[in-house]
Amino acid sequence: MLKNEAVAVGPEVLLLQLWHFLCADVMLVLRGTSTGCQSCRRFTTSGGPLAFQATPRLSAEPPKKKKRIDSQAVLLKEIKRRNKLEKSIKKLESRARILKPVEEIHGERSFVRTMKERHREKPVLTFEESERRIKLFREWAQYKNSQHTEQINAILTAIKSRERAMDELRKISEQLYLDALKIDSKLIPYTVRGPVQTPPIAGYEAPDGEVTNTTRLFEGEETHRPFPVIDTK
Amino acid sequence: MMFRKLILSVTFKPSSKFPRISCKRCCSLYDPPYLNKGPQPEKYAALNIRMRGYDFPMLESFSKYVHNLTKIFEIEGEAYPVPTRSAKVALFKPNSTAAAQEYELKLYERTVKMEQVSSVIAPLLMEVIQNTLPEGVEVTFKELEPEEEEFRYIPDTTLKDLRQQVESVQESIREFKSR
Repeated sequence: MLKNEAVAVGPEVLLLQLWHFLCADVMLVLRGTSTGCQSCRRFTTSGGPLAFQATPRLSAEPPKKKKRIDSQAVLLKEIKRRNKLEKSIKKLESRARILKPVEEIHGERSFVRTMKERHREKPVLTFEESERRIKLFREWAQYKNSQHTEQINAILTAIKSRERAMDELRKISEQLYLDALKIDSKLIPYTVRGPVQTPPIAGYEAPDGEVTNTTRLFEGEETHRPFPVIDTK
Repeated sequence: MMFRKLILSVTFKPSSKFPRISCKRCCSLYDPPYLNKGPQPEKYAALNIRMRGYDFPMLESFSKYVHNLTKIFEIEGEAYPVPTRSAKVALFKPNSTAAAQEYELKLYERTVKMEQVSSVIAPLLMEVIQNTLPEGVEVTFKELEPEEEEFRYIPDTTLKDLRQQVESVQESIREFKSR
């Protein structure tokens, strides 16, 4: 019956339902009282004198006219939208990309805030001290300059001797000379590590531990780049 | 070129490669240097020198040194820094996951980017760098990786969103066309 239908109904319909139930009871009562009376007329007052039965569907809004989807128009719309998006992408791409701040140059974020507190005044130097420093710097600069010149000499000698070697090779065999001019595919990639203060301990067992990457992640990044642990084996 | 002019004139005799310019112009044979070049050495398209270390002052001075080296070798090198990466290292107590000691490490990185390096010069440069490597610095000679280049820049989220939108619109267009 109406109870089992899951339909959203308005208040008028609910009143009609209530009236329906009440009249059903009245009908039962009337049936009970009539004792084989032929002249009695069977009548029902369910739904009012007009016998107008309104169902939820009738009381609902009339169905809307179904619109025909013009696929061509939709397609054009989508294409237009795509072109607009591509245009804005081009505009953004032409903009220069922003570099991430480098801590050692721009300052560590936590320190920048307290920089004013950490400020110290420069000490006032005596005349002798400043003279001593100037002389020391001059000596150092002269030493480094001579070191630099020596190195440049050594490098240019090496380049020169290589060029001479190539000339000699050419005289010996043209094919070997052409091979020597080619790129060595095995040259790169190549990794070297600097010397260490103490040699590695033989049979050393490193303790267990954990490395947590605490690099600052920016908005668009999801994962960290793996943190390489420089091994000096 | 300035180094060559300074030093070569003092330390080296002119080799057979240099043109013989005689004072007597009437009976001299002068060939301009660009004429008899012959086969030239091949070039490495891109060569990156990546320097990494946990000790910043050492790394910084070395990166300056390497940048100057490229000038001596007459290679155009662009030196740039890479954002620092940091990690917390915890050493556990034996037979447990409780941290006995905790350290905060920072990995600093500098790169020198070079293009069109002659195959004759590149091994020399690598040798010099190897011989002058200081303690605590790791040097890698390699070609540029796109992932590393991306790491230097702040990612553009609006651009990413727009690209995703374009993809979804493309898909719907394809659907319509297939119908």
